[in-house]
Amino acid sequence: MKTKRILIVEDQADIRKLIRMTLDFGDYELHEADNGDSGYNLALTVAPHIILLDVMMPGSMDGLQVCEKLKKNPDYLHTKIIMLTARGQQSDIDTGLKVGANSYMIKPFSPLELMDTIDRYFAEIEASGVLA
Amino acid sequence: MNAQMKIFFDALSDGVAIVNKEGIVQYVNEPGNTVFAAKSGAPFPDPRIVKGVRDLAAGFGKAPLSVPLPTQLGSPAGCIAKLMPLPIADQYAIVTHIQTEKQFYEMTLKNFYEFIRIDLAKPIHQFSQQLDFFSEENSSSEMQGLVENGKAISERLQRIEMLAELFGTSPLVDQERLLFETMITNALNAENKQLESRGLEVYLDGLDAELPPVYGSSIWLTRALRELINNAARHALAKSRLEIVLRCTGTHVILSLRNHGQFASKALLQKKLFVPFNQVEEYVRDKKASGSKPGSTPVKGPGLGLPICQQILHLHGGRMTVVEGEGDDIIEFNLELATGAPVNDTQVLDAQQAQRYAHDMVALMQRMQSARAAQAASKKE
Repeated sequence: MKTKRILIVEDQADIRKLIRMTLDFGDYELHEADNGDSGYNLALTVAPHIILLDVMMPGSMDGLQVCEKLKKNPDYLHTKIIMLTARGQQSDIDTGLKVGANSYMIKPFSPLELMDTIDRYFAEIEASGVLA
Repeated sequence: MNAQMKIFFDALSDGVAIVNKEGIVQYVNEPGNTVFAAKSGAPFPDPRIVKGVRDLAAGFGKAPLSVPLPTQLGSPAGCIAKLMPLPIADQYAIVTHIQTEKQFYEMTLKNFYEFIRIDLAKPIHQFSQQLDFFSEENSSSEMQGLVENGKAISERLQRIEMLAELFGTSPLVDQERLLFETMITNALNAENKQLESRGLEVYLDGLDAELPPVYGSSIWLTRALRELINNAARHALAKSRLEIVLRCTGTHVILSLRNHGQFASKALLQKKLFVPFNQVEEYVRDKKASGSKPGSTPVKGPGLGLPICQQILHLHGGRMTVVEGEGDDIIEFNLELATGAPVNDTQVLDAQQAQRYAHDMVALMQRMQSARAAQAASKKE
């Protein structure tokens, strides 16, 4: 079976660390980026199965733009993108879903819920034969 | 609860929980889940709510009963829960209204504005009228001096009233995700009358989907943009061209606005334009009086407009500058805003997130132990 790859794109180092600690409970290959630009470039390099993407990030690309650009690329059409939003504003959620995000989590998010979502997505990915 | 009622409750923005007379949760809607970790079949997690429901059930207190819920450590949000009986026997609704920091400041600003407008403005205007009356009735130098001082005070207080009116709407800084396309369209639409009345042609370049978003207050940044367009339109030569060009440097979006307008010394504009309450008009008039080329359009000073715009931009990490143009009749303003969200440089894990992690930690550990045990068992086999 292929390695399950997850990319974390989050500007706050403490949240990145927390997500890594949570995902260490599973058997994943983890990659990290601290802004939208490097997250986008890393996504093109490592081709993750799942991306955890913060909405609000400084720099020339925020999470919603990264999501939009990746989903326009046919190679990333099936990549699962989970948006992390600090505010839970409906406009953010609507925009995220409009640009192709698969789901969103509102900070402070539940690590348990995150694990469950990731497990569910990998089950879907495995069923689709991508990981076989 | 039937499916239609569930859809109805989930569509509400306020948190709703239904409990029985003992405070045992029967139902909690989606917004409610984010406010209080209530579980169906378990007592409502806040003991004061449970006590409130029991009190109401026992006939003590009058519905609706308001119970302020504590704010999370470090959280700007406050929450008021209202408890009331339902028509269904022995069931009670708990409706929560989340009061965010933004709402708090909006309310504070509104109160401040109303104080200035109602409590302060009226006596100031009356005072001003009385001063006029006394100055006509009494021509003594003492009275005239008093009247002059009183008028000066009255004038300054009126400026405070104007400021309160300007700022009494919403907080200056926010973290809304803003697209330039929307902001410029809104600002141009709002200023359309002014642009049309002067017969100005608007040339727009660089407004494409690749422009990164900026984060800030939609109301105030659009207002700043409007002021800039309005100012450029007022000073432009009639039937001339207004050029708006956008470009991104990677870290900033720069909006350049150029108008072919009335003569005014750029050095003078740069020095005085951003001083609050300064009227550029008099400087332009002085310049004309000293023999410089007169303009074709009467100029009204921007007064409050541009200085406040600059302050708004400063508060959003941006700036506004006047750029030396190609000739004396071209004035170029640059509006610069940082792209993306403000940098979050906190080194401390958000208290609510830490609480959430701690809450889930036990379950995560158990899950890991089970996985290990299952792994060990499969190895033995």
